[in-house]
Amino acid sequence: MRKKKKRRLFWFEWGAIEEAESWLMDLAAQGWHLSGSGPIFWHFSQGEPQEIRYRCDVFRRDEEFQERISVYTQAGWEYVTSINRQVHVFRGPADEAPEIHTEPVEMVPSISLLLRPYIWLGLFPLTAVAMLLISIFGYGTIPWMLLHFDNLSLIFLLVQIFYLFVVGRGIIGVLRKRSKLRRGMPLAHGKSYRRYLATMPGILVAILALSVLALGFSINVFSSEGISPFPENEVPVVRIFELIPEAQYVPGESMDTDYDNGYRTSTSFLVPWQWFSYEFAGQVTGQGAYQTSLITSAYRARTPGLANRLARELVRNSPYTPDGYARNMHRVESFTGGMWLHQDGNIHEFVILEEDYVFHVLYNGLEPVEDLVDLLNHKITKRDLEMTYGQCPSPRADAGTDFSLCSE
Amino acid sequence: MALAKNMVPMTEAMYYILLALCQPLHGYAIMGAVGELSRGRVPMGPGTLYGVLNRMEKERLIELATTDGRRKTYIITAAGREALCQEYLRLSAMVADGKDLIEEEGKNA
Repeated sequence: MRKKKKRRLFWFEWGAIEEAESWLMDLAAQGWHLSGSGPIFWHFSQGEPQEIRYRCDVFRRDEEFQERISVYTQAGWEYVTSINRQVHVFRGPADEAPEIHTEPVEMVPSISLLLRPYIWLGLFPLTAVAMLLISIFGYGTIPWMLLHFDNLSLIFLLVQIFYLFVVGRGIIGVLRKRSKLRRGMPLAHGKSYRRYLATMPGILVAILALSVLALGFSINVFSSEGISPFPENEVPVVRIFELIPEAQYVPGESMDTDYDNGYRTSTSFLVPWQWFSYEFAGQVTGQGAYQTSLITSAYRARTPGLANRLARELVRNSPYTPDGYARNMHRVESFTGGMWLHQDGNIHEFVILEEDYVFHVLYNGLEPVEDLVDLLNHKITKRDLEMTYGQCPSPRADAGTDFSLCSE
Repeated sequence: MALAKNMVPMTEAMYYILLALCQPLHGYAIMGAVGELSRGRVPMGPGTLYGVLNRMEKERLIELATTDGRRKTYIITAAGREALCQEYLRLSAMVADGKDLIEEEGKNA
């Protein structure tokens, strides 16, 4: 009859050697004996239930390894398997051979070996979280937290925190063992592992649940990748044809850099609704042909406070302005909500704050900027009627090549 | 010769392994020798043995003698003897200091 085999998931980190030992002993008492291990599973084969001692020892796998193993064998400790090239699992009969470590203090250097892999493992999430924190608190033109922190970032952050938790717990565990050994106390044999085994899947479930919550939280939020044609329904940004009905749209010259006449939406937790439009149109005036451009970002934040913060950031730093271009944004006192304006010839850049809405507009054109502001105000006041949230506005099927919207 | 701080006092394991290595021995034989020298009082696990051997080799208290076949054989160095001597003297002094009082109590008991 063939021996029955089974495998078990590898929940133990290499630092949790006491827990792993007592778990292996419990399984041996049920007749399952360790036969090997891989990166994901422990392998067991079935035999007689036995009272067996399992012990993990920690040392480097160097040229001395084979000789060392044979000394252990002669001393009554059978070598079973190695984990991570550093932790080696031995088994011995219940009460005959002396323990592998008979002098706790002398085990300190070998326990310290366990710290290094934790430190390496911890470096990645530490760097990731540090970079995330730097970007959240204002690296770049606009604080990343405000406009880009979405559910994906949250899940990423949670996973990193989970990693850090595991690493931190492992390091604390090793340090505790070490100080115990220094005080002359041996490691605990037969330590309860149930709590340990219960927490690991628990944490995973918690992370999953949080991720699902994060998804649910942002479910009524839309986001579209890249630039797409303008949707057919009314959008919260001002279009050039609303300002200059007779203007002719300029088709984008090449597809890969087609920022001309495009539309895009985006989202974050704090500013869930973000619209961007880029429009260029030709216009025939008394002096000849003139090219009008209108670049608009419209934002709706979760609270007026956040909108206020965003507006101030946009006044300070514009994502549209090239480095070294001196802007002189000054507040327009007559405007009821909040308005900051910069003017340079026919170029107008302005930020409008109205409750939880923020508009950021870069306008290069001949029409008076007051007309544009009036149109924006109109958009803001009728927002509750016109703007639908919760789904990405469907793009016009034929809008890809059709730039004749201006004739409406 | 100046000795590192952690060598005196020694652990029991270190003391007996140094004693055993007054003659060249390989790993498993050291365990047997420690058992004999301590008349079975000091148990010596293989993990502790290798921990102490590696540390003492680094501190140059012992060195590799010959490699007997594939087995490594160790022997005590001059520094090792010096350290062993100091530890012996320290332990003797400790025994002497306790002797009168403890033997007195032993008689009374």
